[in-house]
Amino acid sequence: MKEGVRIAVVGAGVVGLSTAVCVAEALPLCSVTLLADRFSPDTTSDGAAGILYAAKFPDIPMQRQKRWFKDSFDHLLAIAQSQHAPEAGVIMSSGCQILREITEEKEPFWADSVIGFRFMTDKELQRFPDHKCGQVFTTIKCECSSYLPWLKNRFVQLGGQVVQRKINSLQELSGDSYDIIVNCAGLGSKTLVDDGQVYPVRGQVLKVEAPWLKHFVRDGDGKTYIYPGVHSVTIGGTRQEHDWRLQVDKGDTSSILERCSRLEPSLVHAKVLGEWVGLRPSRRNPRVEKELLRMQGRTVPVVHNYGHGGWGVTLAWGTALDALGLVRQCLHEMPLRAKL
Amino acid sequence: MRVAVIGAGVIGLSTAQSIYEQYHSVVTPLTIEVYADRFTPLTTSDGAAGLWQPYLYDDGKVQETQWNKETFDYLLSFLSSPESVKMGIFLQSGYNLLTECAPEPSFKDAVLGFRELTQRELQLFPGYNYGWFNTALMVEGKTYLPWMMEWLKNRGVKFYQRKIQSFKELAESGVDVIVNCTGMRSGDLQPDPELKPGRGQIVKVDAPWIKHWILTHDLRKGFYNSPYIIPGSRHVTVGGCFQLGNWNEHGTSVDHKDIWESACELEPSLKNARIIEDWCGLRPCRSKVRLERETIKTGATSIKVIHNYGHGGFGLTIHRGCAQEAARLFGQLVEQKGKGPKARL
Repeated sequence: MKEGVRIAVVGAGVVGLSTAVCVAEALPLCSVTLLADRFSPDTTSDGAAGILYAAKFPDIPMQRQKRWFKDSFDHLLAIAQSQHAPEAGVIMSSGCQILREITEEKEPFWADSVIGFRFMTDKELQRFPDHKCGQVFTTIKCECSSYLPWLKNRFVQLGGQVVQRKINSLQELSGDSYDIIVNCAGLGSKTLVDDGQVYPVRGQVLKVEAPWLKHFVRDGDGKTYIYPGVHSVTIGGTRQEHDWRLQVDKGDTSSILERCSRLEPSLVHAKVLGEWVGLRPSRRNPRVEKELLRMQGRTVPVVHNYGHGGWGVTLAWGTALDALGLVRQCLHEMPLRAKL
Repeated sequence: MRVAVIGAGVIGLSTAQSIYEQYHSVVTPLTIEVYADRFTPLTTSDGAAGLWQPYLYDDGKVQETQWNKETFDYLLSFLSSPESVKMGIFLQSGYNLLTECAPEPSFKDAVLGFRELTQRELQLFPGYNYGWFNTALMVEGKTYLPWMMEWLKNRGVKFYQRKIQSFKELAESGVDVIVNCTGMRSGDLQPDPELKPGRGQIVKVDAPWIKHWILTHDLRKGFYNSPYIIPGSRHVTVGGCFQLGNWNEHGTSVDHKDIWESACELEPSLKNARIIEDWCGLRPCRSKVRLERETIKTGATSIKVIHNYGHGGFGLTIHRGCAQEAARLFGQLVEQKGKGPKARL
């Protein structure tokens, strides 16, 4: 019996909340506490357009990456098809990715997980004279400004506890007698668990009013994109590695407007509603693994789930399921006395 | 020459535009006047959702299929310009759903990226076993019509708000050619037993999370009698009503209930949508579009009329193709009258 086991989840971005909900749903006899310094609408996840799209990580087995994407996609698809879609901010979104050069690669690894994947016809490409080929598909858009509060609600309904607290080191949790700690602190893991591999990739976006835009358009370089959302269109962006600036850069704003208007001329008539900057919690590969931490004479298992870069929304649920699996392993490995 | 266009829906305005474009430098002076009792936003064209899509099958009316395609290509050409927003034109993709396998529709080559639905997509729509996905265009009457009126006004076309009682009335005032774009009410000017109302009722709702149009088809029930959901730039149009022979221009609560319930079954998230209002319109249905010249003899005078009406539920879809054809017919009249370029030699 795992009664009375106390689990702490650190971080309330999309990965933290997804993991907390995952754990709370699967382990109803455990008590789960979510601790975070920032909550929606102040997390990195909140500004992200939230389009499900994945890039390849170099060192994670392809099967695992495919599973992460598929699990996340299927989970969100079910929400998009349900009555909860508007409240959760999860919608279906069709569009295209356009490339300036013809690539070698046949199909991306997630082609089967998205819906209706195919290559663009020449007639469709006529709209984009600077681009040579493209892919058309239907994917999900998950707007964290709605999704995070919706997840938090689910978490609390499941009996989860939410604590607002800034933690600078996991050692600070020594006194709280948590049996398992799940670290979803994103970029914060750099200091929280001393991971030198974590670094920011700065992204700036604009939110504009262009309700006539119904398709997403993404340039294959990942720097120029137009993502129509429920109430506004997110256009972007930038990918500035090791750039910690959270302030809006007016030069980036002009660049974004110029590049996006070239892809979508009607944007010239779009009213700019706001600008936002986020730091993608990047890492060579996301860290989804467990380790044992020595805390004040005890050994506490820690499950890490961070370093998703610009693919947090895309991989949150899939990696949360993996993290849950690791939590189960921790429970299995726990000495009997911890359960009293 | 004095040309009078009767009707200021999408057909009347676009025909005036085509005639101006093709003949304003050929026939001088060319005076174009538009007469109508209803202008935007009160025309039939204004209430339509604005999705470019013909009926699934043209029953051999290949000319209409050609006019539809011409219209699509014409509207598509504006997308590369920011002007498209001012015209109410934008791309939108969506689903045509059926309960059984069916032959490919007339418009498969006109639209972008036409393909069959995958199994996974069909799973999203319980109760439907077959269908297609494509990217089409939206042309919203409430924006397009004012844009055309502005375009015409800037070129000296005059507008008169008045119900024309007869072709004779206009001929007697000195009009050389009458262009009859009176849609549903053409019967008031000249009885046409083939012209019948195809009453449609829609519910306009606020549901900005929906980004695809969804059209269902029950081939036994006939077009538009099956639920459809068409997002626009400002609201979503929910419908599924086509009552041939019903002249009631007002919405009924019975129709509202039927439409709303079947649409919510198709798209459960609609239950959260705020209903803005209902609207009702009469599609000017005819066995085929009447697009031809007629010379009406009344006593000593002969009145030259170009008919362009009977576009059913596809007026916005076919308008440009028909307008261009009407302008060609006008050209024939111009040559006959000796007003064409040859006459100047």
